[in-house]
Parts: sequence; C-alpha cells; structure tokens
Amino acid sequence: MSAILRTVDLVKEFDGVVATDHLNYEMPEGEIQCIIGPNGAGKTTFFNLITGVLTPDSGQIYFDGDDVTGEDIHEIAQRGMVRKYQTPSVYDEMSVRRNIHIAFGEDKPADAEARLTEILDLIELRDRVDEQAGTLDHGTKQWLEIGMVLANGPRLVLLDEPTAGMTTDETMRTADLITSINEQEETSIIAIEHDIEFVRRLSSPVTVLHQGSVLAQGPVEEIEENEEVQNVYLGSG
Amino acid sequence: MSYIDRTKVAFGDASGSTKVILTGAVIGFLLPAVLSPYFAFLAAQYYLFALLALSLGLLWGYVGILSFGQAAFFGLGAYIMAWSFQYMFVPGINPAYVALVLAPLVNGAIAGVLGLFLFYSDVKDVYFVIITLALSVILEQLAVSVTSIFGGFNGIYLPRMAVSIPGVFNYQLSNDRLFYYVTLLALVGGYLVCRRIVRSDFGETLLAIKENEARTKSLGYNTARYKTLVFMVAGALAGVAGALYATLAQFVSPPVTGFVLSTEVVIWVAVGGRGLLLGAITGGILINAASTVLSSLVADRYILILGLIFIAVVVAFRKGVVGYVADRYDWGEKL
Repeated sequence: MSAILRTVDLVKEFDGVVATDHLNYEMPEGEIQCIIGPNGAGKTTFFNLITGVLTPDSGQIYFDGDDVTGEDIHEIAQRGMVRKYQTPSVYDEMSVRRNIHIAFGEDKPADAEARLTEILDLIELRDRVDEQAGTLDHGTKQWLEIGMVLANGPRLVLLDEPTAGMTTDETMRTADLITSINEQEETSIIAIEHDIEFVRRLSSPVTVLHQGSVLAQGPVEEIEENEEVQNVYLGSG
Repeated sequence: MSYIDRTKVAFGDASGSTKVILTGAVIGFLLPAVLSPYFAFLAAQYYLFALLALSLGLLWGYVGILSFGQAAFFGLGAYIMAWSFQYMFVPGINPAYVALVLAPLVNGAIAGVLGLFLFYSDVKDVYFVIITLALSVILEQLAVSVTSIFGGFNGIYLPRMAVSIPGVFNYQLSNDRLFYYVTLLALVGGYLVCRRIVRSDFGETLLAIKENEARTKSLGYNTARYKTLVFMVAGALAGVAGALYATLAQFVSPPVTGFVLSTEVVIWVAVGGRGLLLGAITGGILINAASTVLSSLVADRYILILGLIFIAVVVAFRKGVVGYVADRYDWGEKL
C-alpha cells in the first residue's frame, strides 16, 4: 500500500523549544490511525505543519508522493488534505446547508444537491438543514464540521480531538461515524485523541508522540501494555 | 386578466425586499416630474454618492474589508473624466464614453495591483485601513500639488457629457432632469451587479471569508484572490461614480478624492447598514439629502448635528437603519 502522508525528519522550534523533533511518520492510504500523547507532545503542531499553517524549520512533507513542504494552506487543502479543528469552527451565522455548500470548495461537484443529502444522512442532520449553525449544540456542531470536511472531497482527513466536549454516548457514535466514513468514502483518517475509549472503539493503529517525536507505534492493546508509554503518561518518563 | 391586474398580482406575490426595491425604482423614475431642475441635480449627485457607498458596502458588508480608499477611486474616476475631455484620448469618440470605459479599467487595475500586494501578503485588516487611507491622502496631495496635471485647487472644468451615436446623433445632457436618469441608471445597474455577485457561489464564499477567513482557506479557497477580485469590482464601481460626478458637476478639484470624503462614505454605509447593499445605498442618499437640508437650515452647525445622528444611529441600530428595518420585517439577506 502506498503512503498517503509521509514526513521525513520534520523539525519545528518555537523560541528554542523543540515542538517537533526529527519526526518521521508514515500513513498508508485508506487506513484510520490515531495519534495520542501527553499535553505538549507536539500533536497539534504536527497537524499545523502538514496542513501548511506552520512551515517546518527543516524536513519534508510528502502527500501522496508529492513534496508539499512550504505550500500554502489552500493549496494543500485543494490536494485533498482536510482538517477538522479542535474547537468546532463552523460558520455560525449560516445555515447547515450553506455550511456544507461552502465546504464543497472552489470546484463544486456537479451533483452537489445529491451529495449534500448523502452527507446530511451520514451526519444525521437531514431534518435540520435550514437551522443556523450557531444555534446547534456542541456535539452537533462537531458532526456538522465532520460533514463539512467530507463535503470538501478529502483523501486524507485530519481530526483534531473530534470528541472533545462530547458525552460518552456521543463519543461512541462519533467513533462509529468515523469508521463508516472510512469504509464508505474510502478516505484515510488521522485522529488526535485523548479519550482511550474512543481509540479502542476505532481499533486502529496508534502512534504515540512524546516530545515531538514518535515514541511507539502499534495496535491499541500493545500500546496500552507498553511500559515506556505508561511512564510518559504517569509523568515519570 | 389585464396587464395591470397581472402586475398587481405579481407585486402582491413578491417578497418584502422586492417590493421595497421596485417601489424605490418607480419613485426614482417618476421623481423628476415633481422635482425642479435644481433638485434633480442634487438627486443625481446623491445617487452617485450612493453608488460610491455601494462600492464600500460590497467590500465592508460582504467580505469585511473596511477600505478608506474608495474616495481615491471615486476621485481618480472624476479626474479621468476631466482628462478625457481635456486631452481627447481617442479622437472622434465621445470622450465621456472613453472615460466611462477607462475609469473602471484603470481603477480595477490599480485595485488589482494593491490587492496582489496587500491580500496575498496577508496584511492585517487594521493595516489595510491605514494603507487605503494613505492612498486617498496621497492622491489628494498629488491633486493639490501637481497643478500641470490636476489643476491644483483651481481644478479642471469640463462640459456635461453627451449621449451620441457617431454620425447619427449627438445630444448634450445639459438638462439636469435628463442627466438624473443617467445617474439613476448607473445606480440601479451598480446595484444589480452587486446583487448578482453577492447571491452567487462567489458571494457565498465572500460571506464565508468575512465570518472566518482561516477556516475558508483551510477548505481550499484562495481567499486572497477573492478579496482582490472584490476590491477590483468596488474600485471600478467607485470609478464610474466619480466619472459621472465630474461631468455632472462640470468641475473637478482635490476634495473629490480626499480624506474627508473617504471618511464620510464609511459613515454613510454605517448609518444605512453595512450588511445590506440597500443599506449602503440608502445611507448614501439619506445622509447627503440630510446634509443639504440641514446646512440650509442651520449653516455650519449641520456637521455637528450629522455627527450626533451618526452616533445615535450606530448606538441604537447596530446594523444600521435599513438593517434594523430588514430584521424587523424579516427581509433576510435578500437585499
């Protein structure tokens, strides 16, 4: 299987603090992977680097084999790497329908209406298309945003703590939604997540980041048994 | 059903905003019948200022770009009209036509270059305000000091434009009631262009940029390109308004491009309601009409009174007068 995303020796410092330290990461196309790690491990910085929000000090980023290091945010987005932010950033002043419509991007699909319905069904918001996004509750906004990410026609979806602020029930439903998106739409998905229940539910390979580089990689069960990982999370590492 | 009945029914079925627009257009069309030529002249002036306000309304209301440079584009349009009569750039062709083509083109090009520098380098909104303000001030200074080109404070005189078809007819619009219709046409045309823009997918993207530019970028939109394009359209509109203003007033001097006008436009739009195209237009017409009335009643103190009105309106109706009415009667984004 070819790699949809690959980083080579990625380095990023902020005023002498190393946020990303020679990070080598590879993501096979079509998979779901989770990234976990304690606070300050460099998870969000990693997303910022690969989406072009930040430019790495050194190292390369390859998307689907192309070197995209230093490209603009919108250029990388147009290649099909789409990100869902940690806090929901839907357009509060617009309707659900309009949010999705904008998320189709500059080249709207020819069957936009049909696709809109399809996405609304997936995120279970079909009856609420005309509601203003700002009036939706937190969990529903997160779902709408996942819908927007889908509408953008992604090849690789980056989810930054998709279940932050959700109830246990919502978290589990979100995990199932992500699984069905991965299966139905054949998109590759990387999720940053704190909630170990969520990671278990996805039963996907896990990468542990620590101090800006990869500490461990493997299936959830293995990672949970890993002594180094336990040390990091207990703070003695 | 007779034609009149059908029209009545169609009007009854139209949405609130369409009624307002149609009523406005009909009043605008019939107004010269009751106006003295002097008032027709004034009304024509207000329409051109309203077109200028509209150009800012499009920028500020739909993309969130506050430009203090619209007066510079207006002024440049006015000078282009004056130069066109002075130098006859294209011999044999109606100089007003030449100016009405050149003004939007030149302004659009300048706005495009500025946009390329400012938007593509992600200049912060505050700096954009300052830079556009500087643009107005610089142009005004040039107009004052470069007398050989701009005529300095003495300005440039030019005739009223004519409508013509070469070899067929040539009719000078020295009658203010006739020229009134030219300005009404320009305003309605400008409004229809803007309305078309804000209702398209392009306009939807503009609103998205206004609400959250970073998010819109991350959805793959080249937001700098959108902002530059709108800035170009706004510059072109202000240029047409300025060009017509020059031949209406038959005189151009530095104040048409400067700091004071730049600031005034922002006030017109804020009072009228920046979220709606009609708000900008209404603000432009109302405040200019109010200025005329007040200045004849209380002389110089009218500026103070206008200032107070501005503060009162901005405090009482945050979305402007038209914004308030539109919310109240639920016209939504249809204006």
